[in-house]
Amino acid sequence: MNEGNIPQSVAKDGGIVAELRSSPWKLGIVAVLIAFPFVVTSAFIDAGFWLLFAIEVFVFGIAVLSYDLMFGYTGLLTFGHALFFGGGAYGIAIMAHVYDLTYLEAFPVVLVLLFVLGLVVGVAALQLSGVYFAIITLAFAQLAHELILQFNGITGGVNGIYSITIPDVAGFSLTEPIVTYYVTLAACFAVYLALRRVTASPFGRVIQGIRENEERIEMLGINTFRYKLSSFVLAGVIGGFAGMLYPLFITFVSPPLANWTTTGDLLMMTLIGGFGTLWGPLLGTGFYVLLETVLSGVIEQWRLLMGVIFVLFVLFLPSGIAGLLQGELSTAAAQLRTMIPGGSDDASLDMERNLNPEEEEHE
Amino acid sequence: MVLTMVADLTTASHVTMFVDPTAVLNGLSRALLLFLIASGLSLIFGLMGVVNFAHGAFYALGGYLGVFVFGFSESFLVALFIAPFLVALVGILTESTTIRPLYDRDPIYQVLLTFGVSIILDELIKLVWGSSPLSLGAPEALGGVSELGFISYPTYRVFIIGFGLLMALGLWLFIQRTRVGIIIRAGTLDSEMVEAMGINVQRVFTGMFGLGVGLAAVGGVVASPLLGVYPTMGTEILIEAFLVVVLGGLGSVRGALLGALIIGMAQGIGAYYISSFVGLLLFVIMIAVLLIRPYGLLGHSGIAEH
Repeated sequence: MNEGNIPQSVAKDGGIVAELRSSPWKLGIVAVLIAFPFVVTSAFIDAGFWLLFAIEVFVFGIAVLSYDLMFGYTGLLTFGHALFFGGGAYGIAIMAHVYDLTYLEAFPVVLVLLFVLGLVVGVAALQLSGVYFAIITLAFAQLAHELILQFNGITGGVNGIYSITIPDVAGFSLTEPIVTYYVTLAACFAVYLALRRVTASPFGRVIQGIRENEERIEMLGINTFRYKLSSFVLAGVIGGFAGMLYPLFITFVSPPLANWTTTGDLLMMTLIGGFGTLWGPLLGTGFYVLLETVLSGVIEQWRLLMGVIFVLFVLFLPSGIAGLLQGELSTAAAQLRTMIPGGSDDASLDMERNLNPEEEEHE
Repeated sequence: MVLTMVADLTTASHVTMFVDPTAVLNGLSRALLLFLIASGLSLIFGLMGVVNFAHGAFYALGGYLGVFVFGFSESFLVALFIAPFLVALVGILTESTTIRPLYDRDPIYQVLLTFGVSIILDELIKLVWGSSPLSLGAPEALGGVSELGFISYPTYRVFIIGFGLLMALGLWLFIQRTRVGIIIRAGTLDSEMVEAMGINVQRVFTGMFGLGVGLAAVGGVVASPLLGVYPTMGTEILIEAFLVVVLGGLGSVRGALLGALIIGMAQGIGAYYISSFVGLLLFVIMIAVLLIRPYGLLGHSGIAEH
């Protein structure tokens, strides 16, 4: 995004270092994430398992961040994001397999292709809105899925592409779990920071305005189509970027990556985490992958629980875990304030008082 | 899955200069199967404005319950009545507990919710019946091959064509000629006005959802002797059903029939000439229709405002 567009309030805040210095718990999270590989290697027998878990969270986290830009910030429910995620993963695999490019050589090529793909699909799909947009994006993604299945000479068909070789970079083996861990952590963190800037910029304000009331934004003389398209292309490229990191920890790609169930996973992670917050969907990704990791060993149908949780969130807590945390924290703080001066020993009395505002005034 | 079956059937027959009659009949039976599923999807959208992403899962549930009931009763006819009835009950329960609270929210939430419901149903099916496919042989009376004069053709597929046409006629009569049908048609145009006339629209919505997913379940039972039942059958059919209703026009039953005929024929005849590439062609058609005429061939433009 254009640096010049970032408003003073964001540009002046002194950047990430100052933010970490002023907020100890944010610094704590960063420290924990950096120390994580050392902690698991010394504390767990199966360190590789937990490293892989974290890497999966980071890679899907990037895709989920881009999904949140689309759904949470721009208000566009897409059922076709797997097109980009799968496209990135397949792009890398095909470049390596068919055109003999190394991983790093393929990277910029695939990024450009993803940009073009986003532009073409975006221009077409954004002719429609609401549920029609959801259906046409689904159609595009399933078309790509079908193409992958049909052109098995290039894509490997149902079997996918196996043994994608990832060469060493500057003496580091990118497939070494600990290296992959830091590479994906850095990538996820960078995307998070970048999207935080984007969403706080005037561009971000406009897309959030489109989410709230597109007609109104149009009335301001703004070409909303261009903003939606920019958001779509940016989300597509970032979603594809996540897909390009995928072969780093799973060295094969297969059609389910580009199927709409992948989009469904991203959607669930985003909504359960709390759309429109960026950090919420990241938490949602962690929650989802953790539940999958823990449950898939116990019961084959772990998605059943995921579906139930998702439905409950849609019905009762559409603001997700982020909304829960924010809401709970503020009500807990408010409750603490009302309860401390009372000092009553009788808990039931306390509860009654909270329910009855008039009595509270006597305090 | 479906396409390969169709292809197998067609490659066996003799190639002529004209379109092969087997391909046409395959297309027709496919079309009427698709109509059963798509008509429910279209009616639910037309009346309630809900794009039911769980429709495929209800179709799958119908197929599995059909196999289950058949196992008990040994009667295909009993399965064909009981399974859709049970699915309709599940649908009514789903609508009244989960979809109803969402009517005053953004329609996107209904999409999210029905997507969640589809995951729950799909996983429940796997939990109860396992992940491997089950099959139900064609009922004895409908087994074998029929001589149609110009061609011999599997009796069960003939049954699908006849049964599908009968269902289409019944649905048409129900909507055009009954009091409930009038309410449904009026509700599709302006549900607030219908409510103002003293009709409990909420109950009509619930009933419609039950009827819609019940129709999908009828499709599931009818399809099971032909294709078997397997966990991904729901998601596969959902995409095709979307294709049909988008082509015909969301909310229109006549549109669903026209869309189903076009898609079914394209599959039947396409499988004969361009084999499995027909799947690609269908998505291209779908995207083109959405871009040129998003309200479909028979839908009216107002409905696209949903």
